[in-house]
Amino acid sequence: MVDVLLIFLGISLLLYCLLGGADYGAGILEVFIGKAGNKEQKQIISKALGPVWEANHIWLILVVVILFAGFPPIYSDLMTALHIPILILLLGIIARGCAFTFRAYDIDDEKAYTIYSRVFAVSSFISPIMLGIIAGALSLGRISLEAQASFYEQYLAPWLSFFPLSIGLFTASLFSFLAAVYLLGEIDDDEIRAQFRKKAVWANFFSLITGGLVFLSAELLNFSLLGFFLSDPLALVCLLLATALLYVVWNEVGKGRYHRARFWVAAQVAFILIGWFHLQYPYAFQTIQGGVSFHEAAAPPATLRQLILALVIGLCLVVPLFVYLLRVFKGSQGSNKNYSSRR
Amino acid sequence: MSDLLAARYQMAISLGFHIIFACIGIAMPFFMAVSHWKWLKTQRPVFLRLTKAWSRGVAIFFAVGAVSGTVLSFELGLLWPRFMREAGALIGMPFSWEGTAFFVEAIALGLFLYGWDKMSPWIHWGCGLLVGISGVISGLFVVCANGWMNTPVGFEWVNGEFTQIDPVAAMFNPSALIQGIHMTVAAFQSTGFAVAGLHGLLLLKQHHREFHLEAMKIALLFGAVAALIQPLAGDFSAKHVARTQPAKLAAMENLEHTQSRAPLKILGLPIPGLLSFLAYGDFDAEVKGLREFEDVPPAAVVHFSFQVMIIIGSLLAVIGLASIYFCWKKPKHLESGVFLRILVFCTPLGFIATEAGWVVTEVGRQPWIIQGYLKTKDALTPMPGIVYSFIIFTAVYLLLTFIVFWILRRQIINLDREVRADG
Repeated sequence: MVDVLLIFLGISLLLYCLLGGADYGAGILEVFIGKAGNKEQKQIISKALGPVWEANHIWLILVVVILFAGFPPIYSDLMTALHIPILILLLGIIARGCAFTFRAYDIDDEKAYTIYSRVFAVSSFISPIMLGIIAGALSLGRISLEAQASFYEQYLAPWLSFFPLSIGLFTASLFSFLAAVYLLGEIDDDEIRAQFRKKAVWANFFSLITGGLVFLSAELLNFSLLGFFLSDPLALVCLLLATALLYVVWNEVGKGRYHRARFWVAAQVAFILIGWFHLQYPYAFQTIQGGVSFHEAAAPPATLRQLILALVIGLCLVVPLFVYLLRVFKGSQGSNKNYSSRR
Repeated sequence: MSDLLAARYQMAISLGFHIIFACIGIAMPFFMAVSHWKWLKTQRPVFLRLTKAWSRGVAIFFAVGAVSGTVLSFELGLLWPRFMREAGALIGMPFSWEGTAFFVEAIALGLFLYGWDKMSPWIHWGCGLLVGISGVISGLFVVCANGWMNTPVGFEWVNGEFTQIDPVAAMFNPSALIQGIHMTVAAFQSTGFAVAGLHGLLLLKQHHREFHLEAMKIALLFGAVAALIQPLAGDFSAKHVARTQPAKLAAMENLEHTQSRAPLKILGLPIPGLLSFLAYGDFDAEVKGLREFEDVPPAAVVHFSFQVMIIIGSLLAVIGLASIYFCWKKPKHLESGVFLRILVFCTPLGFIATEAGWVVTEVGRQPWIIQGYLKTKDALTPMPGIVYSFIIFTAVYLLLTFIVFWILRRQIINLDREVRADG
């Protein structure tokens, strides 16, 4: 039953990265929008994100709920050891959630628009770095559950090092690549599309650099990440597929088949995450004293049963609605033209 | 400031901030759906304009409510990890259902806000209504979890640990429904009076009579009906607290010594026997005083907040009754200067009462975080320096409050300009 719940946890986290991650990425891309065509490009981003904005965000809440209902000790330990990066993540989430909506719903005002955009872009940059740092800290094994340990050992050392930071930068680069490729399919204007394509190239470049940095920093900290990927067949397959899919994505982009490119770039992120899940399993996180496994930390069976029931029923309600949402806003546009004349 | 105090203040600020946005997110979609329905039925442009104006407000309040709610789901662990470790398996249930309800709400909101030209009109209307329905449901679930903290059930307490956990029994704890109804009604009451007061103010300023009058009527009717139900819901709550949390009841009235025929003080004026009657339905019933209990909440704060809540509640009930009468028989009175000024005065009152009510519930449970089982101080995070995160969150929420007010003001000015441009 624990494993069933872990599948839900994995899917929620994956969907958060694929959907919410792209929202972050779009914000990061805004940092790199030049002065020319400034507002036009931002409006493409606003238009693409608007309808799905709130829904994408809820996958994170689902992750948190599964953690604290299904694995209370894990939730409790992580919120203690990683208090500081989580706090910064939350400030980022507040800032970007508010700035994005204020930008969309405040009246037309050039000055306010610029401020909202800047806050949105910067906080979109910081939040995924924090997400990555948190993920890196889970793997690194510097978390200390000793109550006698110093402040540094308990609250800073778990995450404040080169490796988690590299994962943070990698996460941010990957999310912006995801966003750039997703957005290609939302653009009708060839010139703007070329600009976003250029951004996708840059994001791809940075993903590769920071990805290399992840492995390098792991080795520097005597954490044999590369060894794991090379010695484990499943992990190796994930790594190779994720890399090979880069070619497929660019091939589809080159042929102008943006919807397929979207699918493949999502698959790429999925493989990276599956590789990471595999690295972690069966542990939620590593500590100095050893790994803390999901199975040992799981809530009693009665709770797990109810939680899975709630998730199954919940997904039966949410998935069709979400697909409907995507069909209305992302599918072939203008299928309901007859209604628009009524306004 | 001690870490415990800082953590409690941070929690209070976060909850106090979130609750206002949550209330608006629960009630406002229903106001919007009524206006939208009237537009679809009558095709009077005023209702289309109103629906769109309100929907902009809903979008802003929903977004701020969503992020502040996300923050809370983390803060429970950041500030009270021991509580979540012990209680996670017991109160996770309502939160997982709340997650679903909130998800539906977010999708429905996306469909409603951006779907004006993309769906058939009545399905679009249904999406707007769904935002409200799922908002009410998700609010009820969250309150279930809070109810469990007041009346924890669904486990066996063995050697200082929760065993034999029954999450379903925990979710449907004795307080869940009573608190849930009290809170949902409060959401309609406070939002109704706030929105009516705002449009009342604009009516007083002689802006676009038809628009603001229609808006005021819709919001006022919701607020007024809720204000009439609320004394009943509150009475149920008080009787329930008397049964399950006698120390909280004693603190609500700041009753030092146990006595029968206990008086209820209203503005310092004691009415003999009324507390006994409210708590037990009998003027001569004995009410336990604070001295009887080993652990007592800070009575002054709880008592003051309780007073604020019942005074506002009574006032709004009277105004609610008058409003319904005016809407029904004397519509002209709705536009009289005196009535409008009273409504403007009432704008913040519902929210003040809601906050006061939460102070009664939460401070009244102290020193317990789980009534009778876990003390707040034992649930606190070991991380030092909470005062800094308290300062940061206070600053962020103050800034956000300021920005939201500022944006709202700009919206209203802009609306004025728009209507004028249309003639």
